[in-house]
Amino acid sequence: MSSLRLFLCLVRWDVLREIRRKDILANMTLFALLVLFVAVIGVGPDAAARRDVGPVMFWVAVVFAGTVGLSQAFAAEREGGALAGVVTSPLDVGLFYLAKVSAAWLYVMLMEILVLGLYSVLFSFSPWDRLGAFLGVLAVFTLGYMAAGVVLAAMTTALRGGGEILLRILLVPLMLPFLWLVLRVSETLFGAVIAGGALGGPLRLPHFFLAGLAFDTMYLATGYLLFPKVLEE
Amino acid sequence: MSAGSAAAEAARGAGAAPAARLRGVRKRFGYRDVLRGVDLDVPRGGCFVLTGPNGAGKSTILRIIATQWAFTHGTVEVCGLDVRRRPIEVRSRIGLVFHEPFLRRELSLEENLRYSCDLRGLSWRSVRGRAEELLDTFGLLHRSRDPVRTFSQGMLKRASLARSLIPEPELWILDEPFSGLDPQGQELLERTVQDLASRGGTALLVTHRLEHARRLATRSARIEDGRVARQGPGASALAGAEPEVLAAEGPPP
Repeated sequence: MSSLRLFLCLVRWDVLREIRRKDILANMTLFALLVLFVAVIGVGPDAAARRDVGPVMFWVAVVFAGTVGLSQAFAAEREGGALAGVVTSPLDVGLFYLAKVSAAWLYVMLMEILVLGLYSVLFSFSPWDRLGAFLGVLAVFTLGYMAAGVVLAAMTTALRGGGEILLRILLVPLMLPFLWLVLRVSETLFGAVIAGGALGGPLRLPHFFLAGLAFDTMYLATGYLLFPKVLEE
Repeated sequence: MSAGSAAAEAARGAGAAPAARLRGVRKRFGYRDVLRGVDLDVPRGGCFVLTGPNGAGKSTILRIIATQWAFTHGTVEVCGLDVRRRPIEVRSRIGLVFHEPFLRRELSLEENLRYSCDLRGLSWRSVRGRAEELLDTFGLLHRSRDPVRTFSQGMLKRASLARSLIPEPELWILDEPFSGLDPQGQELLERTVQDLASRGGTALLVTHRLEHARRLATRSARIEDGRVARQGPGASALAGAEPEVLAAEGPPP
């Protein structure tokens, strides 16, 4: 079986499992929606505050919901020793890593699209005329986020208690440079002024995509090399 | 020597090598030495039984041979292949039955077997007949479309046994395979091991169930405190273990 075919097979099995379970997507989306509800109540009716605080809350919701999904996906993978079955099979574990990242990217993208829909209602914001740009930014950020998150989730879910909090403690700081880029491009996308403009000003989309893809490549390459070591014991 | 003849030579060498060979293997968990220099040869063909008290290091030996766990010192070869240098080739030659069934709970049994074949790069079409035969042997063919989360412990063990045999492993590694099985299942497992051994296959078995061990062992070893305390042909290394086994494990179900 060619590597590409095997990769697609592994992604398909992961998606099939999520279709059967349904809990990962549901829990992530619910978590993000609750964050947005609390945020919109806290911000109040002031339109300027909604415009400037809303994008930050959107990314807070998405980032923390992503950690919920990653933890649950790996906890499910460890049930019944399924992950040990992968480690002891004659499979390139790096390929398994890429498949896990791809499957996680699919779930999280789907969650983000749902959350963007609700965000547009709660914060009276229309992303639809710039939907392509929104999806592009989400896709590029989510790829890097999952590339780093899958490695850390594999590490932390092996700990007693599931390690979900530890995952957040490790993953969010690791993503800070990327989140800085995302917040700056959000000033462009949402037409907002975040942190009073102290982040360095709005980032143009082509610059974001260039830097974001460089981050993605770095996280993916590092994850591909580290993942087999993480699963070793 | 040409590349082709070198490969053929290597293959002949690998064919003549023992199913597993451990030399001076040490394993440390934190500050505790779990294995303290294990030397062991598992010859090809037959059933090699490992026994010993709880915590002696038997399961650690199996997981090291299976390439699941790294080790601190020494060398380990499976079918002549160094497990550190050629882990993927080693994994393609072994079948594993551990305490965990290695199954995804939300998938059906048949889907799990297909997934397992994908992980091994095997085409389901080429092994489907064998898989169904094994499911029939282990009494699970009628449940093959059911999600494995609905299975009892005994059924999960049977499913795990069937899964591990589909790729026709050269070395079948079993850790306490009788636990959780009903008497019919235990008898079936004994027959399966004997059948494998009669066809030239090798089983490496860890068990506390001496009645099975005595019937199956073509060679045996006793592990104590991270070392091989004794080993010999047949069940000779098992002698004198009964009182401890009964105290540790209780009577068989």
